[in-house]
Amino acid sequence: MKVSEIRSKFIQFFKNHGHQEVESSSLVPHNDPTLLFTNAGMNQFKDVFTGKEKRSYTRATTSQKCVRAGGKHNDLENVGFTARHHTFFEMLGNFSFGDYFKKEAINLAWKFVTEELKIPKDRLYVSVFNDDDEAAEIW
Amino acid sequence: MGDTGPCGPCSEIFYDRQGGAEKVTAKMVEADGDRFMEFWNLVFMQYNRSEDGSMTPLPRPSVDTGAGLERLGSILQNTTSNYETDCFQDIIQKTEDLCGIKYDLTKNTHVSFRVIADHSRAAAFLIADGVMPSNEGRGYVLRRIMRRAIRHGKKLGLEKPFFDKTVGFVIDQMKDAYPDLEEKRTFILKVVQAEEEQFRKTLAKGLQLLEDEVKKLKKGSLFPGEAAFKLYDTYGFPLDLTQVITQEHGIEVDLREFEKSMSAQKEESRKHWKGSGDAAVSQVFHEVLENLKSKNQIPTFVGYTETEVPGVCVALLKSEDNKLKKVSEISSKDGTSIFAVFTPTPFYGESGGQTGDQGTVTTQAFEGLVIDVQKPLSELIVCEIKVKKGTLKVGESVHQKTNLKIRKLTEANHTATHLLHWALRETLGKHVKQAGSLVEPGFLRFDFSHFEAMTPEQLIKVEDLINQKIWEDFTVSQEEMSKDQATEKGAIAFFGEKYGESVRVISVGDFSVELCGGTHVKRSGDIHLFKIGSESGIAAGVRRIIAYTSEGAFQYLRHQESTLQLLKKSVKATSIDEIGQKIEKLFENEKELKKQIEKFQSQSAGHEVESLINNGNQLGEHLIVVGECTSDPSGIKRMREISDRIKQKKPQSIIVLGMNQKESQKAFLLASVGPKSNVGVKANAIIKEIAPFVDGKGGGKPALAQAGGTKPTGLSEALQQASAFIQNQLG
Repeated sequence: MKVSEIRSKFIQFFKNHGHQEVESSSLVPHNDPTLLFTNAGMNQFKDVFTGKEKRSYTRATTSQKCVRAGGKHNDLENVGFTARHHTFFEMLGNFSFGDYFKKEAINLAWKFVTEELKIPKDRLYVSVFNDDDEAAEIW
Repeated sequence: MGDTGPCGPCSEIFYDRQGGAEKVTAKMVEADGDRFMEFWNLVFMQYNRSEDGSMTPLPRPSVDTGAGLERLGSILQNTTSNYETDCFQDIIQKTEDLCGIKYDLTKNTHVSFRVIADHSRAAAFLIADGVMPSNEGRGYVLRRIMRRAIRHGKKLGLEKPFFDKTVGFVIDQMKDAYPDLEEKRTFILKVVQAEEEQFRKTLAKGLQLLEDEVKKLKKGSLFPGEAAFKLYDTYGFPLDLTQVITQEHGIEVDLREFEKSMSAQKEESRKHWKGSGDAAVSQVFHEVLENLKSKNQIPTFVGYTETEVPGVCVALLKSEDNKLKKVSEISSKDGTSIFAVFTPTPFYGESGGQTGDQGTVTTQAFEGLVIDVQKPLSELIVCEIKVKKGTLKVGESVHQKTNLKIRKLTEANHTATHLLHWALRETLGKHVKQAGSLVEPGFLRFDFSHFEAMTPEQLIKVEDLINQKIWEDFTVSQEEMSKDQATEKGAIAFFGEKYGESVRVISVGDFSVELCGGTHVKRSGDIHLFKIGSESGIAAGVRRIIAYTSEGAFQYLRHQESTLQLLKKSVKATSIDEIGQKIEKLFENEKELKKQIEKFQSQSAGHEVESLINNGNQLGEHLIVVGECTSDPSGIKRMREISDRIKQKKPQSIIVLGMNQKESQKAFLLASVGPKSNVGVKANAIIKEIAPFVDGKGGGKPALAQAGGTKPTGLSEALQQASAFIQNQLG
């Protein structure tokens, strides 16, 4: 499956599950002076999570442009030598702003990976936070 | 996510790249990064972590997830690395075509292919989002990325600029998902080309300097930080590039010294743009604001609608021993540097590029001028006051009046700035972004991203577009709305500006919609007239326009006209239209005069030639001409001309000429042997013999040689020696 196909499948899957498709925000963060470049899908929703900002939707999905190259000089020098370090990459994400929580998030992710992408279940492993028995239960 | 903000437990999904029946333990999944690859992270946000580390539950538990697209690609395409997926391979294959080398995982060159593919993606997207290569901040990261890719290109034998091509491939590949890449294609490629050209130019010079430095050092020693800084500052060598190269020689860069040089330079440039004591000033303003907050007296700005209102003086400051201090009253004795805070206030504090208001503040017993208004902190509006008479105390009610004329001119320039931004995007393309802005009563200055100088036609088009909109007299609406609503309206947010939850949106008609906190005219017709004064470049990819509106535009045009009137007078034209004709005539005259001068010069050279030949000394078949030419600005050129003419007339001649050039206070010597004087006397030998008399250096060939010296007083001695030398040689 081509990378561009994975991108559109992801967005379509979450749109079908009531998510608003939101455009990737700029690589230059607009409202965060502590951040050199946008480096995760949640950057543009930071204020929505804390309740400082309200949006017309409570579920969103994005394919976010990210750059990780600032900070330590070594980061950049590694790129090319390893299998998965990049300066620029795209991060797919789904977000719930006080809408669904653990149960639905886990179900959605599992469904997408096993049914849409058809990745064999016996190749998948999941980690949970130490005390998070609730999540472990759902998986 | 930073150390503060929403957080909670996460859950990760891993993919087992190997598979098989062997029993998998939790430890294995965590430890083996090659076999078990994490590709999706789910964060269940339950708390908000504040700066002191304490956690408070979030009002509404939320979910944030992130799945790496390239990782998913490598799972589904069953590749060993992300670079083997189609999104990198497309670019890598095209790079293969460019350099003629194959991407081969068993060879070291595969790293360079990967670097180029990865960095081309980063460069395309960063430039599209308005980052420009520079020596600081984000621009510096971009520059390092681009230069690293270009260096790896050189490793693949790409000796000519190539990076715009690989960046172009990225645009081709990604334009469907990110249409703005295609919109900004020309701009992106121009930026890339300019950077590569500049880098390749300085690379050779910088490498030389680096090698020279390295040669002086022994293995294991430190490379001087100052030299690394010079490479960074003058030759644009990113620090990591210098490090990579020195490390190849087993030498580390002295980072402490590098940082020292860097901060010394920063300190220097800071001094240049702002006076000292800045930090001390802001501290007192923090105190003032805290104090006002506690009393619920934060100044409210009412100047969007009101220009003359009563208010209360809530804080006063004045300078004592060069330090600003809070005081309870001010009076005419206090001199300069007096500041006051009023609420509510109609005075606009400098922000968003618009300069502060001016006006007056009065009570029954006090009269003061507001000469400037600043916002040292975003919530604090501070008026600088010049006391005319009386005393003003904290707590007193005052009457505040803004200077309407200045305010209106400033507003015209501010709304015109928005129109300019719109017109530039219409004319040059959507890559145009504001890079800086200054709005004063007298003029406006607008910096924007664009890759080349604007043509006269483009400037005229921009002026025409703006003036049309002015004369059509559109309504300018100013509304408060949520950020979302503003985005839906298509508002342009200015880069680097911070906006709160509710934003002010300024719309002119339906074509210009911008987020802006400044003050604006009510109708576009209030701008009256718009005229560009100049367009120039201020940095790579950044242009600057200075323009005038309303009265300012009229004054500007009148000034241009008076210049024309002066010109008309000085070229004695009867009308302005005739000036061009007159100037053309002047040029023709000048040409004619030049011709005549040349003729006279050649005649005078003719005289000199004659007299030199007449004073020559016939030795057998040879004419020996030794003499001084008259001083002439063209120096050695004139001497050569004279000697050529002598040779023409007397092919069997040996000539030595000197000149004491008045302008430069230098001595010139020229020796020349005629084409038929084949007697073994060499011009370069003569010059070698006599140049020391004028402290000179020179040389040449047996037929013609010359020298210049710094001691004109030795000229006659040199010429005497020349005669003696030649006679001696001819024996």
